Amino acid sequence: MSTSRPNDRKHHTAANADLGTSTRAVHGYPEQASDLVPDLVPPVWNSAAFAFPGQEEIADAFQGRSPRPVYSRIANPTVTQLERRVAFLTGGTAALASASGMGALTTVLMTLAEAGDEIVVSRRIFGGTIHLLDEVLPRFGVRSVFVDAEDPAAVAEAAGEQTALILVESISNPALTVPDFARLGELSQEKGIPLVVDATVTPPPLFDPGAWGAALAVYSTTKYLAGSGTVVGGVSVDTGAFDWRRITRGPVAEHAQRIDPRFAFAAAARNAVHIHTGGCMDAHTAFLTLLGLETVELRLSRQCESALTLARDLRENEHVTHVGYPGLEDHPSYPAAARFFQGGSGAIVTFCLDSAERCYRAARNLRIARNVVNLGDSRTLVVHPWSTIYHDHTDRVRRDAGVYPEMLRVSVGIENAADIVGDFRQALEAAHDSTG
Amino acid sequence: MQLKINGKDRELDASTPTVSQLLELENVEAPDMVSVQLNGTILKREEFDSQTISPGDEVEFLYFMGGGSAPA
Repeated sequence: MSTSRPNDRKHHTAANADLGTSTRAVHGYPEQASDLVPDLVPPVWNSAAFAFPGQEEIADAFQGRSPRPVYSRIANPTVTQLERRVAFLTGGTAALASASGMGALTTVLMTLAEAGDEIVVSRRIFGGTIHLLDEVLPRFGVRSVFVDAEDPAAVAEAAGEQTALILVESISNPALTVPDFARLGELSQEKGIPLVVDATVTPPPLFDPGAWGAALAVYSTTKYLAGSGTVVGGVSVDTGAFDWRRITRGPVAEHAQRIDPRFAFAAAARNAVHIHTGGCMDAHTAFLTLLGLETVELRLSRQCESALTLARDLRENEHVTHVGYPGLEDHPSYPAAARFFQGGSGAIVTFCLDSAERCYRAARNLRIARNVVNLGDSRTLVVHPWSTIYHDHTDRVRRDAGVYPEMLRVSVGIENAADIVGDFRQALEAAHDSTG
Repeated sequence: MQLKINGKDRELDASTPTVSQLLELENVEAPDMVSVQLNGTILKREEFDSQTISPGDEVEFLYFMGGGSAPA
């Protein structure tokens, strides 16, 4: 498969291929209204379990002969509608919603890896993911090999017989580096090892991981998809770019023999892991996420634009020693961001001052941006990663991940760009004022 | 014609329909998410428009979403 340019993947009807991101986000599948839920705005199916006329119908559902929900840990109509909407929005074959982004990632890892396997992973990755890979999974016999994911040769060297998957973020958080997805996609296809991309910070229409050969995309829906900081959730998407018949062991291989192989990962993840580990999304969360994702393109377009404006302004600020944003021409990942992303380079900006203490003072003086450990909110949020998200990592892990004591991370919101810029200007002045 | 769908005998008011036609005739829910097993063999989606159903065939419509624990 050539991955020199995006794949023309058409998993749905031909008519759908021409629809834009917002049209998909608002309307979902054309057939969705008639076959599952007739309402314009989805109802919240707040029911733990669902009634059937008789036991035969329940048996059919348990035996996979009916898509009807039985019990909300296994499937809930509102959650199912979110999963179908996300699959449609992203152009994937299927999606699986979880209680959180970490829950979605955990389900993916538990579906693909087993004791004795290795995960090849970027060393520049979210601190919570490092904990999962470096502390939790080793207790179950799964080891992670941390590599420089911006160097495809290093990934290729690390990926061997026992490698169950390759894991990277679309834009590393908070290092803000962008891997060469074309090369990683080729590598994945050559070796038959699924490439998993945590694309939380680059939802549609910014980035299509499957177009470059990634097998799976994982999103923390808490962030841009829900968009307003209302609910915690996550979802994994099978992009359709990977032939699951190449997996020769474990639940994916088993399911590829029993159902349409296109659905082998989704079926294995749901039936062999998700429903037994209990990390289900609840109906109310799915409802709010469905509402949120209708505006993802509108929000993200503005957020990316404002992030670039803020990054440029910070670069000119005399108090700022470094600015990180892949949309800046002098950023090392600018060429990759320009190649792989459409419509912006994300809405996360980092900057450094002369000390951690100065970062604290600047953050405390912000009047619009909020001191919050989250991202992808409609509000501009600021965090000091070194002392929070990465507080219990070693200095080496922190620096490998692009985290420094004198760095702040900004998740740019949908406020007016001039107000965001003005807020940071005044906060930085106040932080350098002897009374600030 | 007589056939068996999801383990149950069915009398179908059509002769040798394609799989796509059978999905419509049976008003199968979420057809984009269904796997079709014909006489024990999983069909590829691209075969749905050409593969015909014959009298006595056994057809299974299988889902990975919703439902219970695992497809058959």
